Amino acid sequence: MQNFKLGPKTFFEELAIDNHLREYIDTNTTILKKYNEDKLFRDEMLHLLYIHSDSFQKDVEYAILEDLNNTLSYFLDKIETWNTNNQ
Amino acid sequence: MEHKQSISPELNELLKKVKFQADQYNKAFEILNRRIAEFDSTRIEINSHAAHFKNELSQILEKLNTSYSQKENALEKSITAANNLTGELQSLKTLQDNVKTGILTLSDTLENHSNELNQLKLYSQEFVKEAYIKLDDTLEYLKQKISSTLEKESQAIEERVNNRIQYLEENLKKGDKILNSRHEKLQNEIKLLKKEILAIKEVSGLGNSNSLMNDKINFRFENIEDSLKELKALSDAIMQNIAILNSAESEEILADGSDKMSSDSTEIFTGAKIHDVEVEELQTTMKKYASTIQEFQYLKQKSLSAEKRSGISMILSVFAILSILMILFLFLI
Repeated sequence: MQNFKLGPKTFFEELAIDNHLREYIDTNTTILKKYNEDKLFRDEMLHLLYIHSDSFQKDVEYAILEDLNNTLSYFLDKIETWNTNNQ
Repeated sequence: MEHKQSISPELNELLKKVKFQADQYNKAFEILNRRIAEFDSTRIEINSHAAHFKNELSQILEKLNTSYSQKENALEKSITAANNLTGELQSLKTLQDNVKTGILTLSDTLENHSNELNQLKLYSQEFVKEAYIKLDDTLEYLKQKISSTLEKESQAIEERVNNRIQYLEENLKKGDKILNSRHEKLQNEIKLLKKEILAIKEVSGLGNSNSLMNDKINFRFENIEDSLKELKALSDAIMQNIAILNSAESEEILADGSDKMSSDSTEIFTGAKIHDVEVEELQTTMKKYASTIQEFQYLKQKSLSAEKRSGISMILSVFAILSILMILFLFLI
């Protein structure tokens, strides 16, 4: 998930504040298609859900865990040479 | 971290733990960066020290190179010496091998020589036996030959001695004839002188009163006596030589005829040499005898002239005749 810039509230942010963004994405096929294919759009949507949602969001948690996984794997890759040298 | 309702509290706790660990890692990396900076500073210091040590090492290396080159030269010299020594050692080894082979060959040759020596001893014993047999044969042959040659030589020497004796006898006969003729002539001359002296005495009427004349005659007479004594001594020497010659001739004759002389050839040769020497001595005595005869003739002429002048030639002639007779008597003896 990415941190987005400050600016005026978008349509999707208002939907997220009203807790209807998830329903909107699932019901609108064109938006769902974009959500599945466009990574930037999906990240923007997940960020809005993470910040403004009052209920548990499974996709958000998956995305956070995925990012955490990527970060930790990167970190482990970087320190792998150090670990191997110090073993 | 603010709790969001969109995620589960487990995830939230996990995120907190991750954040805490990230902070810890951040601190650790900060410490690591500081250590890296310290390490860089120490590395720079070490590099400067390394440069310093590099310079020192380069100087030491130069010194080491020089010393190494010197040592290398010395080592090369020692290596060449060692190579020479190894070469000499190899040559000595080859020489030793050659000596060993030579010793083996010498031992073989020695054994062969010992065998040959034994064979040669056997051959030499056989040769000595055969040589003794042949030497006995040759000695007998040589004895026979020597005896035959000695007989021939003794016969030849005997013939020569006989010829020499005949020659001497002929010469003595000739001398006897000459002396007899001279004696007859002297007697005739004495007779003539006696007659002349008597005739002169009768004519002159002089007697024996002239004392001065008598003194002169006596002096002359003494001189003649001295000369006669000398002649007598010479005649004695001639007689001794003749006696020696006769004894040598008799010995030669006996030796030629005897078997002892034939057995010892050296004595014959020495006898022949003695005979030659005695013949030479006889010749010298004959020459002396001829010279004494000439002196006697000279004295006789002198005495004759004195008798003619003083009238005493009669006495001188008598003494001369006596001396001649004595010499002849001795010679004939």
